[in-house]
This record gives sequence, C-alpha cells and structure tokens, in this order.
Amino acid sequence: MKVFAVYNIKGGVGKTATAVNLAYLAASEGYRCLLWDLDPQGAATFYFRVKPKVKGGGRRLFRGRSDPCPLIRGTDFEGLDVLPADFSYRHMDLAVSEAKRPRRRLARLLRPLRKEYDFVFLDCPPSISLASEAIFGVASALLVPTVPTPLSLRALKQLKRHLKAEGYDDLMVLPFLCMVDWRRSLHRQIAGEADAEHFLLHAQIPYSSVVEQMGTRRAPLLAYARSNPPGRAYAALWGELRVLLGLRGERPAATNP
Amino acid sequence: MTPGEAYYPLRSDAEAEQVLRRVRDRFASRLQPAKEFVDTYYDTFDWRLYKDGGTLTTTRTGRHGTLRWTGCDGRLRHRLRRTTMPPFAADFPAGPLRDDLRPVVASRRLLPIVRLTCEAVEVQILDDLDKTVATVVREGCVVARPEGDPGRPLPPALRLVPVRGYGRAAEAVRLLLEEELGLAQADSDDLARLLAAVDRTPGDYSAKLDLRLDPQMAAGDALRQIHRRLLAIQVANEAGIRADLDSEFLHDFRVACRRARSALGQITGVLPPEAADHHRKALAWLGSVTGPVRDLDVYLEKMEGYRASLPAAVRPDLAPLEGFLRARHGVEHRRLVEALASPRYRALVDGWERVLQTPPADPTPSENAARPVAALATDRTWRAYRRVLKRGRAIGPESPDAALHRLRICCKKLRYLMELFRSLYDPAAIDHLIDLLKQLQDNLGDFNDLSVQQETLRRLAHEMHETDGAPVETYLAMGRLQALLEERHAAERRRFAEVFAQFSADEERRLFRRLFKPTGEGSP
Repeated sequence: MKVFAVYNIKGGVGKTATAVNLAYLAASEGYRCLLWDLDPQGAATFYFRVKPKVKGGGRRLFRGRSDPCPLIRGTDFEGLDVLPADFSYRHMDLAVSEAKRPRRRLARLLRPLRKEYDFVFLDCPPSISLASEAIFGVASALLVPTVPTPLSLRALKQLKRHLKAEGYDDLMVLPFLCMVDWRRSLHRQIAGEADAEHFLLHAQIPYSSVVEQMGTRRAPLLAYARSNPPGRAYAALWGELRVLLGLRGERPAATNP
Repeated sequence: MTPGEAYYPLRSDAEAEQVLRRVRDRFASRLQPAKEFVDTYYDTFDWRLYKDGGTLTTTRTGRHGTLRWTGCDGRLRHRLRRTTMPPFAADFPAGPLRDDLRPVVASRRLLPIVRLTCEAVEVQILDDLDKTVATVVREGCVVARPEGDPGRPLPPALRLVPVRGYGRAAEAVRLLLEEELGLAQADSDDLARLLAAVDRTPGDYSAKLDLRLDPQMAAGDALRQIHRRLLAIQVANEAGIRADLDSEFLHDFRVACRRARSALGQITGVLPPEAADHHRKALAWLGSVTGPVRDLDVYLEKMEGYRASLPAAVRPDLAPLEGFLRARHGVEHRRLVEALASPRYRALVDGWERVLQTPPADPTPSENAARPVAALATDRTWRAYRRVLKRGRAIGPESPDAALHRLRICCKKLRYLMELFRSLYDPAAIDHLIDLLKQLQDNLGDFNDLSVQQETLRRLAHEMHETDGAPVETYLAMGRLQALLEERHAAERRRFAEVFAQFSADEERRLFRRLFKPTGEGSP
C-alpha cells in the first residue's frame, strides 16, 4: 500500500481537486483506493456526496479508540472509498499531541487498511502542525500543488527547509504547478523560475472553471469531463506518478462502465 | 460479489418486474439502462485459486472489461481494467496483483472454467444527497462451459448489493424483499452455483494421491486402488500436454508414471506378474518419450535464473540459446503428441485399466496379494530405508559422483513408497519423515541437476554450432554459465555430509524404526 499525501502549507491551491481526481484515476485503472479526507472543511467528502460524520470525532480516531474500517464509505465509483472528514478534525492537532508518539499513531490507523487498498490518498489540512508531522511520517510521497506565485514558491521553500531540518530525508517531495493561468505574465514568469529552481513534475494543472464545477456536480472532474485540458492534465500527472512508482502496462479505460 | 451481497432466485420475469416496481415505489431510486455483460471465471487445472479461497473473473461490457480477483469473504482483492485474462501470472502488468497472484498459481496457466452471459437492469437506491447507498440488480443469465457449449438459462434473479458504510440502507431493502415480499435468499456463492449448473465439481483434479487405505486390506486390493488413482492422474493430464497449456501437465503425468513404475518394481508378487512386468516396461518407454520435452521445460524455466546470475551486460547474449531451446521444444512436443496418439500408448492405458478392473480369478494368484497391505508396506519401506542408510554412510569426501547418484535413486524409491502408503501411518510422524527425506533429496537432486545442466549446456553449444550457429558472445555467455554451475555443483557436494548427518541423526532413526521396522529384525 502506497500513501500519497496531497499537501501544502498554503490553502486554496487545488489540493482537494488533486486528491479527488488522482484517486478517481487510480481506481478507474483498477487499483483499490481510499481517499482520507483530513481537511476539516471536508471538501473531498462533499464532492462524493458523503455526509461528514465520523462517530466519536477525529479526536477519538487519533487517541486510539477507533478502528477506521467501520467509518469508511463506498463512493459511487467502483474501487474508490472515502474516509469522511469531520469538523472535529480541527482539533486534530490537539488530539495528535495527546496521543503517545503522534507519528506512530497515524501509521497504526493505516495498518488495518494495508491489505484492503493499493493506494491511500490523504487530503491534508494546510499549515505545518503536529498533524502534518504525523502525515510526513506515513506518506510514501508528498504531492505539493503549487500555484505559480511568489508566495506559493516561498511556501514550497519553507516546506523543503522544514522537512530537511526535521530529518524526513526519505520522503519523496513532488511539487507540481497547479491553477496555472497562461494568460497572466506573472504565472508565465514564475512558472519558468520555479522549474529552474525546484524539481517539478512535468504535468501542470491549468486554471479552469471546469474544475470549480466539481462543487455543483459533486463528482470528480474526470467522471464528467475527461477530455478537456484540466482532465488531461490530471491524467498526465497520474501517468507521471505511475512511472515513478514503476507501474506500467494498463491504460486507463475511456469511461467508467 | 461484494461482502453482504444477497441473491434471490425468482419464478418468472413477471415476478421480477413486480418486485422491482415495489422497490422503486418504496425508495428514492435511479433506473440505469439495461446492460449486457459476460463474466468468465478462471482457475488453474488443479484449482489453485479455488483452494486459496478466491475467484478470478473477467467481466466484459461492450468494449470494456474488468478483471477482478475476489477473496473468499467476497471482498475485492484486486481489480484491473482489461477485457482478457493473461495466460500466466507472469504476463500480468507489474503491480500488486501480479505480486499476490504469482505465489498462488506459480507457473500454471489460467483456464476458463465457466462463462456467464447476463442481461442486467440496475436500480440504484439513493439517499437525500442523491448518493447511491445500495443497488438492486435484476439478472437474466445463461451459464455455459467455456468451450462450445450453448449453455442453459438460470432462473431470473435479483441481487442486492450493499455499498460499504451504508449497511442500514441495504438492510431496509432486504426487509422489504424478504419480510414483505417473501423472497428467499439462495446461497450467495456464485461460483459454486454456476459450476453445479454445468455439472462440474470444484477441486475435481489434484495431483495428490489422497488415498485412504485400510491397514488390514489385502495388498492386492490396495495396490489396485493405488494404481487406479495413478492412472487417473496420468490420463487427466493428457489433454493439457497435447495442447501444451503449461509444463505442469507433463510434470504431473510423469510423476504418476514414475510412482507407478517404482511401485511395480518394489512391490512384486502382488499383481499378476506378467501384466505387471509388461506395464513396467511400457512405463519405461513412456518415461523416455516424455523426457526430452520435460528437460526442455525445465531448462526454459531456469532461463530467468540463468540470466539473473550473469552480469547485466551479458544477459542479452543468452537470447539465441533461449530461441534454440524454444524451437527444439516445438519439435519435441510434436513428437510427444504423436506418441500419445499412437496405438502403443492407447494399448498401454487400456490394457492396464483392464488389469486393474479385473478382480483376480484365482484368490491367491501371487505370493503377496493376500497379505495385509500394512505389513507389506512396512516391510518394503524398511528395506528401502536401510538401503539409503547403508549407501549414505559409505559416502566420504573422496567418493565418486556416481555414488551420490545411486543414493539419489534409492531415496526416490523410498520416497515413493512412503507417499503411496502414507495413509497407513501416523500422519504427523510420516509427514515429518517425508520432509526430512525431502531435504536430503533436494541436496542430491540439485547436485545431480547441476551436473546434468553442465552436460546439457555443452551438448547444446555443439548442437547450436552444428545447425545455424550463434554469435560468439552467446557461447561466451554459456561458458560463464558453465563456470557458475560448476561452482554451485561443488557447493552442493560440500553440503551433503551435513544434510545426511541430519537425515541419519539418532532421533530420526528412532522414528523410522518406530514406524517401519517389522518386528524381530535388528536395528540399522
């Protein structure tokens, strides 16, 4: 089981859309996927029409009294399940700090899922906190959607510095450009600079109102608009990840029959 | 099948319509357009997936296909988007499915066992967010054997499929179907139901002997039973050998023949001597006509390991050797198929069958036929064991390779006897001794294999040179391989003393004595 954490210190950079669409793509290829909505806003949960209720709250889950399995909900897409968000996740920092060895705690919660899923996508809350430490501890790779603006690049640098200082040397950090608007000269300029300075994945997710429609359609973008630019960009992103993971061969099906 | 799924056979299409209408009246729902799909279930010839507790299927819907591996609890183990089943585990794309499937099916081919053609109408039960919380599927299906079978229709049926985390919604539908509409669930094991519909029994083939002999049974009857079982295994594998489905068919076939031959050689005076002698010779012929293909199978299976043992730069140089082996395999396989179609082979099978079916006309035709089988088995096994000990103890560091070769043959004979009569002894004790013997056989077998492989490699180099020739690099790579084999051969030789000491340790000797020593004989 591989764990992808979609993470950024900044909010509003397209984390949820990335987690939702990558999980959908992986599931449509046949992998068994779980999307764990760790963001108290519960956007990923909302997109799948699942009600955000975790019995006992996230706090209970983190303090060791709950097994996540009964909380998992099947989505309308085969092979894709969701562990819903809950508003009490906003206390997650507190709960994680109360738990003994917070980094291990998340790993222990994931253990019973190991046989059931090929991929877990964590839709992470923004900011650096104890919860994000727990996430860095379990993730196989950190996907960092990055908007081409000076502040976003600064946040990416901060993150990298932090990971280095805390000794997460083995963690694969995979930044990629997101919400790119090629009509804006600032985006064009920063995109070029960022590419020179950081190791960026090739795929770039364009800014598009089609992505925003996920909120009204309440479904992954790829379930209703596969062949438009953002849809193709997410498919390209997943393709790159697949190569990095050494998975080959199976092409995604054109539609979900 | 998903966990908690329920299956309801119905009397007629009209009843199905009526039930669906009631479901739709009660729950918010969405009707999906009717779709057709074809499910094909796969397993190996010896039912490895079934024994592992799972089902492997492909589902085709129009142009699309999904391959699923479901565990015994109905939970999805793996899923791939593809319309066809790869023939072997090794042919799957790299990934978790292949990693999990390889140890289960090994090198056996995945064969279609039953096919289901279905027309399905799906009603999705929705909650207040328009989220699907359960599905009711109406199915009209035809089940058929995979090869040229028109099939027979199953009664119309409904399937209730819960969605994970929404158990209450599925429960509400179940109550409606069962409590109010009086439907009864049938066994939810799809595969068992489908196989029963085409008159097949899961697990109907195994290469294991699975005999239950009674110690007091007359040896003649026991031996007939053993030989009937061995002949059945042999015959069951013929078709797979002919079609060259995978190398295990021939392997099982040859093991059955060798066991039979060994039994005939070691336990004399039980079956009519003339027929037994004739069949023993016939089996020797069969061993020789099946040998070349088996040798090539083994060699081709080893290619991957051979390549891996060479430096990466040299590996491609072995390709001409592999091509040569494959071409040879084709030629030898055709010869083997001809032999199996020959009157000589048919006479071997039919004649032996007649011998085994005929009850002895004379109640005491041969000296040992009336003896209780347990006494005879114990006596022969003890004799074979003592021979192994004697030969093994005589081997020192300076002994020639031929001495180890002879010991290997003695071990084989002992092993066959122990396996044929396994059901007569305390299972824990005999299985322990078989394991112990196996370790010794592995050492001797590897030692012999490595020597044979070197010999074969040299012969192949000559044959390649004499036919189309191969690039010099290929011969060089084969030379490197030869050196590696020589090294490993020497290592196995050094290991022998230790392995044999283990086999002949005091405690193990006591156990052999307890099981097999006939009363009134000295200790080994």
